[in-house]
Amino acid sequence: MSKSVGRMIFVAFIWFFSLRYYLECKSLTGHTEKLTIAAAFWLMTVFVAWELGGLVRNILEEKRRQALLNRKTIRKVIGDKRSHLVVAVILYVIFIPLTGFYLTSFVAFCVFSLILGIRSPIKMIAPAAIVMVFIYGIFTSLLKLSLPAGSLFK
Amino acid sequence: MEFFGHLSNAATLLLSWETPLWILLGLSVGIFLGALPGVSGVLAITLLLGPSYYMDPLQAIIFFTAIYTGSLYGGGITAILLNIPGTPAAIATGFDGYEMTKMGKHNQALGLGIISSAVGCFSSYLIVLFLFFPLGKIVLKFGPPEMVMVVIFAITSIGAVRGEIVVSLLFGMFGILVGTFGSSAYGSARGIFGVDALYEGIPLIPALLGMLAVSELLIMMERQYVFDQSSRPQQKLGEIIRGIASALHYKGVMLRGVLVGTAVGLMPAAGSTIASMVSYGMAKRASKNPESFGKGNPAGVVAPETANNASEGGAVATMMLLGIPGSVTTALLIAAFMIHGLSPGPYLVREHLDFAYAVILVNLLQAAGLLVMATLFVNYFGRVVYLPTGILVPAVLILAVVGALAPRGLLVDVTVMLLFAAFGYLMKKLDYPIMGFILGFILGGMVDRELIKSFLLFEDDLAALGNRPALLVLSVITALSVVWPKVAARIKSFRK
Repeated sequence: MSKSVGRMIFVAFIWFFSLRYYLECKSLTGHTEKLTIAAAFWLMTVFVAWELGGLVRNILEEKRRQALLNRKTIRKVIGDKRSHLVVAVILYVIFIPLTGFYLTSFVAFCVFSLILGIRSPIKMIAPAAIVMVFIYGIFTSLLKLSLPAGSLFK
Repeated sequence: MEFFGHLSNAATLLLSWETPLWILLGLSVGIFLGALPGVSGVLAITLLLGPSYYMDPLQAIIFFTAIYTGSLYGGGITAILLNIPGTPAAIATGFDGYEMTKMGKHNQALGLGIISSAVGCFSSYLIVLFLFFPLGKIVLKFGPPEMVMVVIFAITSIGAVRGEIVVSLLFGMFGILVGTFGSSAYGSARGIFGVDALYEGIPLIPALLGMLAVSELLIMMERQYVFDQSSRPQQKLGEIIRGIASALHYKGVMLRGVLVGTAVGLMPAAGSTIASMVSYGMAKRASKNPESFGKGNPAGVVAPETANNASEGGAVATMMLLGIPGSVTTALLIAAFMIHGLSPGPYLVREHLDFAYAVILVNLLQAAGLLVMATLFVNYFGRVVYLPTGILVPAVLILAVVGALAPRGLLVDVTVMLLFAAFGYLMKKLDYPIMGFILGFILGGMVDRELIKSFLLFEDDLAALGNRPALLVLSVITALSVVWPKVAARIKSFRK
């Protein structure tokens, strides 16, 4: 996907998101509480139109346009370690309230290292343990920060 | 006399055994992470914003400004030794610094970098110390319409600097919209998407952590090491000290660097990168031997290193006086002020002037601390680039989660962090200016309040806005910052 197409999708997405917010705020009763939103939204719309106009021109000028999404791209995304890390991070966040911050973070650290190419178990476990001890010492003991304990262990 | 009264109160605020501790800790973290390309002090400040909730406000700000000072210097270490600038502000340092390394003069270059940074930082804060009071008196005359215009000016300045005014304004406006999420001035819920935890607005710390720290990790993990290189230049303390002493030959270059850096730093959105580039260019033009620049001329290290550290004083002054940031780091400093209930701008000048002076005074001490720390430990700070990303990325990621959980302990904040990380990553990949959005987002709430006040004040008499000279001046400057780049380009092409 070319950068211009990516930019166009991105800008269109944030405009629709802003439109939804603007429409939601239209129902507010006080006229001043929607003042900033209306001003920012309409100004933004002008700049979005300007930017999209430029992007459309860029796309039309491109002689050879790549296919927006072909099998190769999908395979590349699935095989990419960034996609693996994103999935791992999402699972990590889902598991924190269940298995608690420390256990989940320790396991997650090892999984992240594995995804990033660390193969030695010592190189995976030792830094994970050091980071956990550091977080416990600074944040839990010193700053008295309460981190999720995990509903499975309560 | 009033000035000296504030100074003595500020000095009293700093009388604590913890002050030097936070300075040294902040400098170490800043130099260490400043040497890490693409990460810099921004990562450290974002990660520590959450835990700083539990710190005393002044200690937190001391810690963060020390990180800022350290990171501005740290970027130059790897620029000199490996030709990889840790921060964009150190790009110009690499032009001659790395050439000196290739000539075997890396210790002299490191010494010059240390002394230039320390002198730049100290002198700019000294200038700011005397300018702050008169400038503060002007800022106190700013009312709600002027404050709205200041934010618009700051967003257009970012665009003018980048040469992309339309996209800066687009994302600035989007940032303002996102910044207004949560309860309105009348208590109505806006943009909370059914999540009660968002009633107070999008939490600042998780959002900044996502945009600045986590999104950067996705870019960093594309490499196995931050930098792969088997041969590491050897550093010797004696030669570094001789390098520091050799700065006496470049007094003029340093003075120019201080003045350029402070002046550029005072301008909103200009920042340390522009300061160092302008200073480098001026040193080259003023030199009797301009062709030696880029080939290992020591003045080519002194000029950018003095200016990038000198820009800090100017940027911090603008941030405290007007509440607008000159860079991502100063935007984070605004967030740090805000989470401690201190709103930079006229409010800070009116209510907490002693606090502002304490921040300036402590930075004079930081410059001295930087000189000592950097000289003794420069050998170790440069090694950060050899860390494997397989360890660095998971460690930072988990610390980011702790940082997001720190203020409220709510898991929804971690989700906010991830959403903003995805948003920040896409912006970076698509080459959109992240700074415009951050500025709008941080100041969105303030714009909302000031716009409502302006509307209520001038609803029946809009013509009265024309009787406000500060507003008129700001409007003209804003209009010029939009129009001038195009006019200048036309003039340039016409001359050619």
